[in-house]
Amino acid sequence: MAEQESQPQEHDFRVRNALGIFTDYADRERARRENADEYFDPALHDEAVALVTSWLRHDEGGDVA
Amino acid sequence: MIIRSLKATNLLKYRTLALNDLPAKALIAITGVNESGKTGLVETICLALFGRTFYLEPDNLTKGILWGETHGEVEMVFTGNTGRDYRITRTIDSEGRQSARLTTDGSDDALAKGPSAVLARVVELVGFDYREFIESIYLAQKGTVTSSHPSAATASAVSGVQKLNQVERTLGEEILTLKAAIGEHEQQLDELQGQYRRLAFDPNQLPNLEQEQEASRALASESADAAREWEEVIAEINQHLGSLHALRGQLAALSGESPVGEWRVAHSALATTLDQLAESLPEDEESAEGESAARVLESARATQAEFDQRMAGLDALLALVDAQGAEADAALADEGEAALAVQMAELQAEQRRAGASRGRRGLLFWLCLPPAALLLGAWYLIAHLPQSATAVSLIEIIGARFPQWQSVSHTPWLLYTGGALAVVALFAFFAMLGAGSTRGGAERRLAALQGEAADMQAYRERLQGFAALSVPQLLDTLEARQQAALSAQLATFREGAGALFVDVEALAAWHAQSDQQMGLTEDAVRAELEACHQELTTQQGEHDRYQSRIGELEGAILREQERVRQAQELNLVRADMEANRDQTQRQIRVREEASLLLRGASRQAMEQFNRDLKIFMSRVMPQLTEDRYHYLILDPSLDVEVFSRDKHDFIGWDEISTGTQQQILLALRLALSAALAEGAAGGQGQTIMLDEPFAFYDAKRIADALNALPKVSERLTQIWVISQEFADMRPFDLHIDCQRGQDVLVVNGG
Repeated sequence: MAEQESQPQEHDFRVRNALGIFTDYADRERARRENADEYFDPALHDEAVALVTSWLRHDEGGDVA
Repeated sequence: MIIRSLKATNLLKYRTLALNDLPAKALIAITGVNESGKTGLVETICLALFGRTFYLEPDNLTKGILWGETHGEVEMVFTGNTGRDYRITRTIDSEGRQSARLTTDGSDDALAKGPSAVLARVVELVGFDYREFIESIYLAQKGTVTSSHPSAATASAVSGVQKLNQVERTLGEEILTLKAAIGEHEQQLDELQGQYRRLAFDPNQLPNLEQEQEASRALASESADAAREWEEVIAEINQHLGSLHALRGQLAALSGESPVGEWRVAHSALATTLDQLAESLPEDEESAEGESAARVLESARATQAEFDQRMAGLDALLALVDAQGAEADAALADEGEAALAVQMAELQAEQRRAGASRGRRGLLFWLCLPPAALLLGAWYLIAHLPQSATAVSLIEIIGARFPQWQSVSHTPWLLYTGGALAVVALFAFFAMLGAGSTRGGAERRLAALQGEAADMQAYRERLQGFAALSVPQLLDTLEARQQAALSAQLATFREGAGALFVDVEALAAWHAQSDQQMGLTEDAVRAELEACHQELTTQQGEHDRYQSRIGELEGAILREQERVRQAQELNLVRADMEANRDQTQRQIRVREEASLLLRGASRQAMEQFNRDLKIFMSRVMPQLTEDRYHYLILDPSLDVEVFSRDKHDFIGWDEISTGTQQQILLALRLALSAALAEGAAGGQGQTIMLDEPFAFYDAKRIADALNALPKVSERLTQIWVISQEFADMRPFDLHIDCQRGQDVLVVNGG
């Protein structure tokens, strides 16, 4: 057991909550699409992110905007 | 969550159950033959946590009460993800009534009361719900408990995808709802468009009506002004027509005895009246300026012309009168008061001089007369009566005064002297008489002059008052001057231009002609007046017509305004609907974008989870599969593929044996439980319960697995393993032995 405790977090599942997963992905996606050739509507993206995060927060006890 | 103690009364198989002082970090063995109550222990834990078990639904919990008892009770103490210990107490009675209470261990203050509130708070404190409990915490080999899928839901939950998928499903449902709403919006817009078409609204109609109304108002105003002007014209013409009629009578009344002033007043009035009439008569649009008035007044103008001619003759006569007046003025200037005053002054001077002369001469007379009388008397007495006493006395007096006096030689001197004085007195007397005569002559001339001036003044005044005289009287006045030239001019006047004024027949002819002409003019003016009345009627009719049209337009405008209002309202509603539709479309796009992001996030979360799972499994799986399988992956649909060391490739779930499936499944569930503990336990230890995990294991595999279990994860600290028996109990920290037929189980962990 002592050997195990000294090891790094090798079974790091990174069980992040869904909100963290989503916001991380949305931020990366925004940065990517802003600099891509495809059409990108930042306002639509932000609104979609806000909607999802509100739902996720709602799932965690928050309010849906 | 770590279970610290469990107590139950009259529940499931146990009348009394007490597991006290359970170690937080331990491998715990539960053994016993079939139906000895091993699974009942786990059910009791599940009942304490969630108010149900995998055999007892919340609505039939009464079946969990020990047969013959009226109620059961369970109490469990656990360490939550906050690191603190909590106590759950639940009761169930035979009527199905439940109670639940959650407190901090050691305190009576309820954190939650009632099954629902306690359940919600327990899920929060332990970090998993009932489903996750039976998927990840309580791992049973029995197919009745778990789903056929290897913890798909748990993997989904642990990886975070589950919530993302839930939201995506929700958004998908919303998109469907919103699309249905779009359809309704479109239908409503179609209906609205139909209403708009039926309204047949023309945006130009109201401006046109208002424009026409404005024009009608202007025309009505114009016709009203015109009517008012015609009324004024009619009133003026009526007034002047009355004047004309009166003038007609006035002309008829003129006679030879009429004073010149009346003739002149009538003449002037005729000109004035005709001019006023000409001014007031309306212009004929087709005629030149003044032409129509000239036509109407033609007859009267003829009378005026004849009258003008006659009056010109009279004016010539009056010019003579003026000339005579000027002459009289001149004469008056010569013999007038001023001249008279001068003459009077001269006369008075002459009188004064004559008076003075007369006085001086009178004085001389009276100075000379007495001495002359005395001298002549003395001479007479001395010469003719020298003896008289008087003569003697006189001689004595003289002798006394004049001693040289000698009577004889000096007495004639008395006569001479007396005579001289008498001559001087006589001369003075006649001179005095002459001065008086001069004064009287002056006075007479003055009187004559004054009389002549008075006559001239009277003549002048008569001439000046010619207006009050008739023409014959005026002629008589002039003729009285008895001037030959004037008389000749007067004779010419009588026979020519003045015949009207002195000849009765000529006057009668003029009367007849002028009266006829004036009558014709009156008729013409009346005809014109009638035309004016017709114009007035026309304008009033126009005004009424326009007013009527204005009223009609008023109604039409009100109706059109209502249509405009309705159209605006429809437009507003349409704009609102279009806005709603656009907003709904926007919401759909937002949700589609959100779904896209969610799918991407899920995909990446799953990739992340796979990577983490692969790391975990690469360490655990070889221990549980004799090093034959190293890791597995879950695809996005959560299907499992396992990497086989023997085949050096991924193989499908169905391609491996049942025993190996169970080994891999155990490894996978351990991995998921560890992951769940990572996320849910808040860094605290986690309990895991493995019910008959080694059913397909041989003795070596069991021994290897039991040795491997405590090392799987530092989060899985309290591991319960259920089996009928274990060949070697040494790996276990605590042993709970269940006996068939015993309903009392008491274990102290210490």
